Amino acid sequence: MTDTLRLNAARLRWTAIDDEVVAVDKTSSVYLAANSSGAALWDALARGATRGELVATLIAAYGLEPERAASDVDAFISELGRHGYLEA
Amino acid sequence: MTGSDRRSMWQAVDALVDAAPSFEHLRWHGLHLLAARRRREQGAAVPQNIRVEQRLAAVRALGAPELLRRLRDAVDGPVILVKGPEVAVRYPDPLTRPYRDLDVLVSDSVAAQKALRAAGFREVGEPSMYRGIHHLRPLQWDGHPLWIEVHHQPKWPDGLSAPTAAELTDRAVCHAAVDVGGVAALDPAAHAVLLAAHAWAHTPLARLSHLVDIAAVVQEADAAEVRGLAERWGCARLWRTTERAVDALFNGSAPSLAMRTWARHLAAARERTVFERHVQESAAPLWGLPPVPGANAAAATLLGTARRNRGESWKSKLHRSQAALRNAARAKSLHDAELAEPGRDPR
Repeated sequence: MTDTLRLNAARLRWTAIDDEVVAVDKTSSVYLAANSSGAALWDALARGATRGELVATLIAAYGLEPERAASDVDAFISELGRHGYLEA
Repeated sequence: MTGSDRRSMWQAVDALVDAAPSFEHLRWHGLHLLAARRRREQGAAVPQNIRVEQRLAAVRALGAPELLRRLRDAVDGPVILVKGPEVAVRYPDPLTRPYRDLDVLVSDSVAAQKALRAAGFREVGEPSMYRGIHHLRPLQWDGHPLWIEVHHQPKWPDGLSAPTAAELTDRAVCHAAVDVGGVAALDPAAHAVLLAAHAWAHTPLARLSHLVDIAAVVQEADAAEVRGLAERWGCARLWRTTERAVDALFNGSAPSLAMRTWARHLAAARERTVFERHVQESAAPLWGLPPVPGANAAAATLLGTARRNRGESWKSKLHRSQAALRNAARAKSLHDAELAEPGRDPR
């Protein structure tokens, strides 16, 4: 999978606080918070990244096993995608 | 004001934050998020409860533009946003200036409230608390963490006449802080006077956050214009007292008499003691208001001190008075906490 994934900036407004990210869904007023590992993925997704790059981000930042990192990335992007927070 | 003056002002704010006895004192002053930023810059840990408040402040700030858009879509006529985000944008980091609601001034608050309810906003808060005051019941949008308060006039000290919505609309400028088309802001001179009057109507020279807000806004205004406007709006004395406090705290001027007496807690960035609060409530009206309303307000304060609260027995009143004397040198919030302890009230 080499497609670039990117946050849907039309739906979300966000800011970083320390090592966390706080975001608000502009249409529903739902708010989200991502911890430090989520924030690392969030930052990459804000710029645009492939799944492989996201996995590499987690491995580099937290020293995770590749399988664990891939699983975490899949869960994260699945959750974002389910709510329409990733660009189609 | 030059960039160097602005830096100097915020350096003075940092110095006050550094000098505060504790986070709790800074929370009382409304500077706890500024303090958190400062602590982080210094490599120190930020308490977990303050981190939670940072997140909440961020959520509210992020959600403000959408809420204002909904309001703008629903309400006809001029809408002027005051305080909150309009002040926060002037902080080095806007997220360090928390707010819980958006205060908007409109010419017909009843019609605006009705339009907002028709658009899906829901009134919240106990209705009796909002009768006969400067704004209507707060409005909430579907779980949004910010409320909207629709004002027909700004909060103003008792005994003084607040400028009308029409006068304020004349001072409106295109919006800069929250980029929502059709929502205006006050020019800095008018905004500074409004902030000072609002702070004075609540607690004169009590909280540093009020003075930081005023300092952040007034640095964009012409000092003579602000004084002239304060004169025109009948609050020249309170503006003069506020301006002197701001200059003493953030611009290196010598402390005024108020700052050396009933507002001396400000320079130490600590909460007022019970005694200081009593002195402030009696002295401030004489300082900031014209002679007649000032004397009336001071007399009302003294009478209020001597009276029982509604439904309170004389025994309980005596107990409160004794506690106030015993705790005269303690922070007011600690005194209040002591009185609120179960079994302490001999009602």
